[in-house]
Amino acid sequence: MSVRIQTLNATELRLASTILKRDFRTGVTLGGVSGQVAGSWLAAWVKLPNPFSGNQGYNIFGADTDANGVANETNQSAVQIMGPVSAVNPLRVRWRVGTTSYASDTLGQFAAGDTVLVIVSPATNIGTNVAPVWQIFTAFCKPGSAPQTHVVAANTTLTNSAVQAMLSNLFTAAGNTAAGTPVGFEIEHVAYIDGDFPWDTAGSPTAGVTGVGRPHHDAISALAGAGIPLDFAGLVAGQNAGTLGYANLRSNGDAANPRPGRSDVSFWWKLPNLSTLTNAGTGPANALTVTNYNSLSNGLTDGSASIAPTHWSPGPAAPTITSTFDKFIPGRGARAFTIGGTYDAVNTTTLERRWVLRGTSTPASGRDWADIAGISGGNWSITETVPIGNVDLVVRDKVNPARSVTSTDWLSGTRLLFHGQSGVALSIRGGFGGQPLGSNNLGITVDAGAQGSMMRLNNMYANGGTAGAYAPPGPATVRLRPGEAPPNCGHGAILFLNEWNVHSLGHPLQICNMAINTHSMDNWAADIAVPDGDPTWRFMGPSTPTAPGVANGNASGVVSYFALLLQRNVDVHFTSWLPGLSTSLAGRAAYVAAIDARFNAHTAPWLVLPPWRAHRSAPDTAATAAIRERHLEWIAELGARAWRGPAWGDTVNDFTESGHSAYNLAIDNPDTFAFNVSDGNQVGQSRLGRGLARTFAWTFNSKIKAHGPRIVAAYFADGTRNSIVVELGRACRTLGGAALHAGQFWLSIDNSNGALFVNTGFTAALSADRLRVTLTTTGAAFPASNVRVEVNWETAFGPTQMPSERNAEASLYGLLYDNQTYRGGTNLSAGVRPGNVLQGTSRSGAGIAGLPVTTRNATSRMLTTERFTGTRNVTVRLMAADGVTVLREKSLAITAS
Amino acid sequence: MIGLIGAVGRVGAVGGARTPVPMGTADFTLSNASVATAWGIVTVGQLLPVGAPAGSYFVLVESPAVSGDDAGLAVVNG
Repeated sequence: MSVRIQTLNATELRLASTILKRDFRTGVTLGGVSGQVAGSWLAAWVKLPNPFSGNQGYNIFGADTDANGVANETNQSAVQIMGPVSAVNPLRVRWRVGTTSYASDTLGQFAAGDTVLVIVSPATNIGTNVAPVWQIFTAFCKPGSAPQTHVVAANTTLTNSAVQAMLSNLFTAAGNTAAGTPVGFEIEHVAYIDGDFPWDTAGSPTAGVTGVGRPHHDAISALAGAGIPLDFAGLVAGQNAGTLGYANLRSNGDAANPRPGRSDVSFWWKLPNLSTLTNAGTGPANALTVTNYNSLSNGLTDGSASIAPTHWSPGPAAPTITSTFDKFIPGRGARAFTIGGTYDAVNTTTLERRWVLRGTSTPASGRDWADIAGISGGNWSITETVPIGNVDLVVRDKVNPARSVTSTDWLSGTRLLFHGQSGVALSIRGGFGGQPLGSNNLGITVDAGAQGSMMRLNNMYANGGTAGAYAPPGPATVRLRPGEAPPNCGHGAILFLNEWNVHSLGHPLQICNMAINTHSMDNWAADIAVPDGDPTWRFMGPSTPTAPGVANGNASGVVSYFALLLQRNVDVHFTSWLPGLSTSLAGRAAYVAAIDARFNAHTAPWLVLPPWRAHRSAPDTAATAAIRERHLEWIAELGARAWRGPAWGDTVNDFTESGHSAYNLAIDNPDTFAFNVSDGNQVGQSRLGRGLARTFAWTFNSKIKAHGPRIVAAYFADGTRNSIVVELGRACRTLGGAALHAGQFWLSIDNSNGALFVNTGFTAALSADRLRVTLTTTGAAFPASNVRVEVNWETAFGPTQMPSERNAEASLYGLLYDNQTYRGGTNLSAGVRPGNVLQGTSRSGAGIAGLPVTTRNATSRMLTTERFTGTRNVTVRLMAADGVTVLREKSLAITAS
Repeated sequence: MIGLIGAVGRVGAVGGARTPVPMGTADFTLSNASVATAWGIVTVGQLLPVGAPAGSYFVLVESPAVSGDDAGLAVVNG
């Protein structure tokens, strides 16, 4: 259908915002390419009344900006059709700009009742971007007939002006003049298109200036249904793709993009009826409003049928859903997320949506069918929370439900953003180079129920072109699904997800790895170019999230692009910045402010892990006490936004003192570098991934703990004091049945942290039930008093530096592990919380370390190992000496205050 | 659980080495079941065997659901 005049001088359609012509000499982005110097054109399908009388130039569409019924004033314009008894140009189209009429007295005449496509262009560039040549034209075409075109030499004032109004109203009813658009006129598919109309360099116009070519008649005919029929969107798509294929089609002369011009359908009012008045083009919202004049109303009505050829109404279409690149919804099910798409604005009036559990028709909790309120001009959007889980989104026409679309496999859960240097960057991916998200060297499989997504950038440094030339970065993702073992994801990340899933079953997790090796926090905050990357690619980029360009990275930066891809949404920022955390309060604040400016949708917390040990050496330059203190200061500065995590995990590293967790399946496999270490026993990247995951789980659930091997008591085995029995809080083990490494235990004989705290001069043995360790002197008996014992007090590896990480790895096999593969400092006092994941540890040793070694008690005891209140039940067994026979078992209730 | 390199022996756990047998006359008591906890380790009470043979000792049962240490409790045999 169309929109039709049924009462003279009663009602017209007016735009919310008048469209002004821009200065066409300024290059703009068209068809996704910047720097395009191009004009614009307007078009509409119009049907003339029958019978038709009158002698005026009747306004069909244009800019009667003051709504006085005439458009012949300065900076106004109108496309007019002259009445049949006009003294000049009867039944012809003309374009009037102010007092100038671009007359078309040699164009063909219409007949009453004709349907015509009319096109006008204030300027069309038939030159190049660098050297534009401008032409004005008017054209029309009746379906089944040849197009007619009228070309006029450029009007410089018109080309340059940025105040000339182009479109403010359809039809004219204001002013009660004789020029009001007559009853019976119909209109449909009005468009304002930024860009040049396809130009025929060889054909001559029907009238006007010859020798410069003409608007391409094949293109006009295609709009009217000849050849390969096109509508506005089809024509523009063909232009931008360079696929129109018409003879003598002008190239825009841009050597880098030799195509026949570029365009965007910025505004397109399809006008199938008076209820569909929104812009279906790609430009901003700019709806038409039914506007009454002269104390009249209802002067417009729906036409009886579409006046444009049939290819303009291809039939009802199902809506579409525009997916994000990762289909991940952050916010832990509690923060609203926006998703949108398109719909058939002609045939659909109401949309509804529902979220279902993936692959089912079972609605997600509270998300069954509901109307979509945000539906306008061919675009729809919803902004709402989505329950945690793995879901599909279904959108359909409410009146015709068969017009339905489903977007599958969305995840709603928790998104983590990693910041820092190589230790963080490589913690879940592996060594330098290779695939952006690492490789699954150990072939780890995603656990049942676990759902996740890993994200980084392809070409993170933007220098992946030939010989290190610029190449634009893009998002790289790996979806982690139960039972799959994706090869292109670091196994540490998969173990991270699996461990997270133990505590947060089915809660989807996304890790976005933004860390880059080597560079300090201050370098990021200063927004310098990434030193190892392309010189146009900076750390921060603009605060408005922006994608990198095709030719260079000047428009963007690492953080800016991450923010764009992630819709500025992050649930937790995470770092342990070794060693380059800013040394000043101002530097740390500047970094946080820069991140917040780009991720400004909310103020996500920062989980900060202070370092204890980054590698085997003591001193450890990547994790000195000063750097640890810097982290603690930053945590204090962040205040309520800071989550203080446990110490950064000490793992086997991929080479001496690197601080990069080992990641190979076996030594030198898959790499050829002689790093002499591996993660085959899962004490490198694997251990780090698990430990980080448990830490993140703890941040959301304080009941989750990582106790590690904890000493709960120590006493001399007998009166000789040659052995000390160390009682552990829980059963522990070594890896692969390795002998217990004695060097992890530390003894002090001066009841303090002094120089006499050593880890030599004794052997260590783990009991069969793995609940006790016996330390036996290799020299004189232990003193009778002032003896204290600790595990992992300074380092786990001995009093002197070991020659390589490979040897350190062997020692790690012999360390104590609980069932969570966790270990760390224990029993440090000074007001901290023994065993709590919060504690971390400090080799600088605030407080008195370890537990005193006592004379063995005559009786056994029940102990509390943490602070709690209320009643807890625990089952106790009295075992026979054989370690097998249960003599008695009881459940005991312990009440604490 | 996540300790993939060899199973951790859980006392009384399925597949573990220890199998309960019919209980005899041995028994035990806990001298006190109320405690004011602190960040450090605090003794709740004495575990006192009754009629137990020499060499017997106490353990907490670690179940898949919760271990003694997860409950914030432990036993010491000396």
